[in-house]
Amino acid sequence: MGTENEKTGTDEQSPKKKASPDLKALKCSACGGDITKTHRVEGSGEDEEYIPIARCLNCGKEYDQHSQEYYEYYADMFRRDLDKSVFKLGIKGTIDGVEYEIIGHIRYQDEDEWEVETWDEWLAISSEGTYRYFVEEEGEIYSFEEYTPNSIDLATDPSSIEFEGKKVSRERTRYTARIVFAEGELPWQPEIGEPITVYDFKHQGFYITIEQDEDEVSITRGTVVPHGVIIDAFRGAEFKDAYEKTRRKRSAYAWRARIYGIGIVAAIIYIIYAAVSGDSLPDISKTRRVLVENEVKVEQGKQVYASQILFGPAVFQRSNSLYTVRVAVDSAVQPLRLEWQSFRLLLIKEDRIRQFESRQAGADGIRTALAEIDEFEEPVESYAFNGDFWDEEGYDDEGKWHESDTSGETDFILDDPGSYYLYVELFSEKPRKSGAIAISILENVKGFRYFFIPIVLFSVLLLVNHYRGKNYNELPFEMANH
Amino acid sequence: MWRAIVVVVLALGGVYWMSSQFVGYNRAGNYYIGKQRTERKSVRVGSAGYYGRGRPGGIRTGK
Repeated sequence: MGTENEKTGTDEQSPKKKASPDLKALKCSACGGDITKTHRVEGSGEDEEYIPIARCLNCGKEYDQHSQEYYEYYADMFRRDLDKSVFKLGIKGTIDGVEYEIIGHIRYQDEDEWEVETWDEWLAISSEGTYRYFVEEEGEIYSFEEYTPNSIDLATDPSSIEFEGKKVSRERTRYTARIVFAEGELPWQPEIGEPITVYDFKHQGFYITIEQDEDEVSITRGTVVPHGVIIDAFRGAEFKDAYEKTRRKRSAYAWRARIYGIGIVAAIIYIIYAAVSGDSLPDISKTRRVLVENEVKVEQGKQVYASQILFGPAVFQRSNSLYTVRVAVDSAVQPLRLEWQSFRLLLIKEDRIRQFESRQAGADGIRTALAEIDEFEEPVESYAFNGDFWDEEGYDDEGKWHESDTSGETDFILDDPGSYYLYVELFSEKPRKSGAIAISILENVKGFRYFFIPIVLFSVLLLVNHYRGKNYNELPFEMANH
Repeated sequence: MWRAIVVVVLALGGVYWMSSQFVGYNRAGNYYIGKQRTERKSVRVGSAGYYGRGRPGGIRTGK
């Protein structure tokens, strides 16, 4: 940004020369041979990149983005969307009470980028003869004016610049800009591909741009200017309505996104609340009656150990309540180590157990009946839940792994409140202590499984509206969101 | 904006209603017994149990 008047010897306030965008013939600057556009492969694997270059068909010389010729050969690529700007040559407008006219336009490309990474600089001259530079970059407009700092030292330190007492790293702020297009009346005659060393940084709330070459330094200072100000000043008649409509729409989309965000937060809060809800029923561990322990059975040619345990009774007194029953390995009694254990938990009404007891006295009657529980034509249990515990380890390409699952739980509602036993059948590949099973029951649990649906729905709607809130545009040029 | 509020209120209200009515949750008690009774009339099941496991979840037999 800025000018290089001393270099050309033109009067800063009287730009006379007309910039020429004419292309040179596409010939090799070394041998005059024909040029072809091709690419160079850099990196490999996932980092492989195809860098566009120009190559002489005669001598093979390559021109990449670090050469001036490259920008002539690839001129068309950098001249896209030249009309997609709030500015154009010849328009007039008043800012801060001063009338300006747009008289020149330069487009720059960052030399370090081989993809198109351009920005446009529009030169405006005031009725008083002063210059103002409007820069359009990624939907933002910046207004720059010439600036004379209180102090500046570009020569002493090769790694930094001293600017009004502040040390500015050269490495972090320096880049090379290449002119890829120019039109209108400019204070000097730019050449396509001409390199300019630029330092960009912020200082005291302003954007500072220093352009430097061997002969001179140009310093400008600027701020972001809202599109509304520029449109009002220069193109109100054409774009005022579209600008206002765009802003209203963006604001509406942004509000929708916020509302969906609030919905997500509300759903998450409810899930957390529901996940810790529930009232524990009295501990039934001490009511454990071991009917069978580690009875050896052979099923399908495999030897397994079967146990039968009866817990309870527990009083399930609510009919309009969600219950959670959790079955887990009690590792304090016997840890599960590289083995499996399967279980089936049955909820059996106290009356049915009493019937079994009355047929044959005591535990024998219950054991005999429960051993054949699936043979009853009339279901004995009021609910059943299967699961298994496991502990495994092994090796994969990341090394050793060890995983286990030593608990299972089920949710249910009960339409027949009362006193129930919890009968647990266990099967394991190794003998397991009957005391190594723990059962806990919660009532009045809040269900939350469906709350994941609105979270997904709101997330999609939030993203869509957030995107539209940033990008909705009825204007023919890009406008960043403020 | 109002449409978004309506969508949020309806969606959250809907899933809250489904949760409070226990829609889709397991049902124990008489409902379970009735369902089992119907199934057992059509299919006689073998003894219940889990034997062996190739992976978490096991090989299930019986009910």
